[in-house]
Amino acid sequence: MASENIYLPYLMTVERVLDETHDVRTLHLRFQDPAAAEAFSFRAGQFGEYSVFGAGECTFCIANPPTRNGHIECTFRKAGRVTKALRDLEEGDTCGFRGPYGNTFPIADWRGKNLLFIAGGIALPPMRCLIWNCLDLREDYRDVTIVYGARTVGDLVYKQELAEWDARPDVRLLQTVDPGGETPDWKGDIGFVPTVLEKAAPASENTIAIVCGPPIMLKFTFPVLDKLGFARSNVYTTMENRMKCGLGKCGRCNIGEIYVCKDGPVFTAEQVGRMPAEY
Amino acid sequence: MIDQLRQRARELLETGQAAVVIGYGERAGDGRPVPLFVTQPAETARLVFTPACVDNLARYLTRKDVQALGRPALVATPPTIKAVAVLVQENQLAADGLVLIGVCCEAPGTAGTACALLAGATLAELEAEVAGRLRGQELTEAALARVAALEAQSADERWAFWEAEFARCIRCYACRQACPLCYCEQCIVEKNQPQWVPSSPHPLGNTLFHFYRAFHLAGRCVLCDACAEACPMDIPLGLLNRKLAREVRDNFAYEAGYDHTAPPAMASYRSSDQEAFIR
Amino acid sequence: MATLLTSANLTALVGRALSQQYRVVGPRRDGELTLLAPLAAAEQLNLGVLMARNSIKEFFFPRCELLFHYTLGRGGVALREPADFPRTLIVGSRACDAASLERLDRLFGWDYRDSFYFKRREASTVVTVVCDRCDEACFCSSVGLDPRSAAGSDVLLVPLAAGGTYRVAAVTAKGEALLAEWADLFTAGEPGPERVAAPPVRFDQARAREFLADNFEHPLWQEQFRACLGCGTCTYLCPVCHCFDIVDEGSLAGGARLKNWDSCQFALFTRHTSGHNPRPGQDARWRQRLRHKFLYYPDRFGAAACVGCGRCERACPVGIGIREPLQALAGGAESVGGARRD
Repeated sequence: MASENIYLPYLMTVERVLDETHDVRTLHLRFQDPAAAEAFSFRAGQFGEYSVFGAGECTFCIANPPTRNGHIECTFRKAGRVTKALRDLEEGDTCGFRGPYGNTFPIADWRGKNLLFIAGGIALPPMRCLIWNCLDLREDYRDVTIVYGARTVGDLVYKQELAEWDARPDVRLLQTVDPGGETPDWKGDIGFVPTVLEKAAPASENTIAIVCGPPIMLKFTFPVLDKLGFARSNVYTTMENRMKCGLGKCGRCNIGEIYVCKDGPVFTAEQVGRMPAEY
Repeated sequence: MIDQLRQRARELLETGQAAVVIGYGERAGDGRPVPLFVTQPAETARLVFTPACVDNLARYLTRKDVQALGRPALVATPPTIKAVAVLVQENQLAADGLVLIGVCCEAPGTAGTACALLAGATLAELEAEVAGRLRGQELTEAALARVAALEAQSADERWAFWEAEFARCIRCYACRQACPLCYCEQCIVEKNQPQWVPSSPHPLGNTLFHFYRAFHLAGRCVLCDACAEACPMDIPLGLLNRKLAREVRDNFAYEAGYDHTAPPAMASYRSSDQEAFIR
Repeated sequence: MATLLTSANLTALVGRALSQQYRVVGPRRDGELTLLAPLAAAEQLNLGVLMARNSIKEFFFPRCELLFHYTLGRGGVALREPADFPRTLIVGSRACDAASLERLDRLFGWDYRDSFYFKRREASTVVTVVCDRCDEACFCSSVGLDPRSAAGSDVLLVPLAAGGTYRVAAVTAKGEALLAEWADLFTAGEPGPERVAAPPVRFDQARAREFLADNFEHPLWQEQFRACLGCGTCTYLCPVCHCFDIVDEGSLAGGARLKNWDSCQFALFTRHTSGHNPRPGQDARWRQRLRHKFLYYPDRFGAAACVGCGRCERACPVGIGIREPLQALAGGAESVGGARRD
């Protein structure tokens, strides 16, 4: 950016609006400045501060993969003031974006390994960026397994892409919904993600696990991965915390000495295990 | 007097009539009075009471972490007793939900003046004693002299006065946090859908915050001046509260804090209430 | 031989700076308070108090800072950045205040450079008056500073015991430029004895840090800080506290994005939209305050986020401050537990 004002956002145009579920929406955003689009680059795991002028900013990951650059996708659920304003945006409207911020998934280190992606509900977006990134570099990796679940069939996000992943012979996809969340024609599993994971018992040998989900899901998934023999340094996650500036100054997102926006948001389960209980 | 106070506190803890005694202690080094929470009988030796003990301890009765300690005994000065009366009126406390240790001194804030325990044990008895001391003293001409002086000025002059005062406000909310009657779990300034009061510490936001707060306290404020004492910027908040308290007295024949059984002025009506302002 | 400046000439210097359109900031009487504020006239400068209630922080990191204006219209959104920052002379800072600038430099320059802060730094000259008095709340000497510390200052004025005169020391090139600009106001002379007062060391900072590192869980967090009201007085008056919020304010036609002071002591500071709050009680928030200042900040940036000025203690509505808690921590776990047992 030409300006040295680190708080100045890029101006983005809403190119497409897609409803993933009844309360989850994806926005496709295009840079208004072609030079910015050209210069923009990011890596999987990074996030940005999305804003509606007049409502404020909020923090989401960048949901499209770096291999499909030049625009930004953002998936969110309406929860508060800013997400409500984002939801009210229509095609052609302008919003703001600051980023990319944070550290990244070390996908180069994972070459030659099996990848196990585990996600729950609205936590699929940060994972989706990473999954497509790896699938776009498919030969770098061995077996790819995706375990994804939501409360109900209606709550599954990226249904289109789930279908694409399901159809691929080089990806093993396990979809599940919570007991009671199935529809009559549901063909996937029924059960909580940690349970389905344990049943599927993917091999931990030479495998990297990446887990993303609500705290309750993580709480029950980490022990399953332990049981399956995953070393905690081979299990990755992205943490969320209340953020404002996204760049290490406003003092809001720290967990102990760790700034989620600077030292994270990508952490190994081993690092999370060493964090004090204030997240 | 202090021995009696400590003895009473000790008895209450030993007999289980109270789980915590909320009173005053002395800061190490300079002996400044500080709020003290005593849960062990032996620790009652740390309780003090001097004319410098003016913090309104009723503030702590609506704090969840204090409530979690169990039934409180409160070392209560006359303004504190008044605040308790209003909290009971507003269903934040039961009149028998706490033990009151009434205390007073001849000239609060003036070193060396005599302090004594009040005779009353129940809230009703203490209200009577407090009324005997304070009723009719608080909104006298002398007490309202500064309010009257402001009222004698033009609207522009008054606005200039308050603009200068509120320019110093840093929105620390010490006033709100010190006030025993500001117990909302989410204050109006913390609501952002919509943002009723700008959170920014600029003159407009500051003015709105203080006006809102004064109006939210109209008919409830017990004129303890905890807010004015807490303010690090010496903003004379008591003037706003006194003016509105006088309005309530003159228009509704009501003064807050003297009768916990009375219906609160702003939450009730009498058929004799004047309607001259309805045109 | 030294460079000397009389009090009268200091006032004259302020007058000249004002007439040359400097914004001059100094301690000024405001009712019963003394506050650091822009001066309208040189006579307003009041150096007769230990320190102003507020710190110089707000002239580098304002309470409410405009990040940019935005206008909304059919054509989309246009952004307009704020204009430049006024040339400022700060007269009457204390060494603790000035030292806070060096500490804030590290955070505001960490990877992403906050241009607002640094433009104000570049545009400001800091003239520190060395303390000739201190009180029980002062503890600069416990955090590696003293009244003569030069960190963050451009010029130091040391009061002489004889009264009415300061010995002048230029600390930076900017300070030298100031002396050169108004050279006729300064004289050369024998300084004689100086009148400087420093507080005694009140606690061992290393031991306090050790306690903080080892005791994330400890009953003291609940017990010692139960009286805390959870206001922002300490954090806002602190010269080093720097947490902030970013908000938009405006109408359908446009508005501004602002950077406002915020405080880790507020209950909602860390609360997620979902309602989950990683620091739900004042115990956790106090733990954050002390660990941030005395553990995380020194580990990451090399110095504590506290300069021992004592403002928090003098202004705290319930008398907590930070000195007494630190003395308790540094005394070890046994000595902890609230107001002293005698």
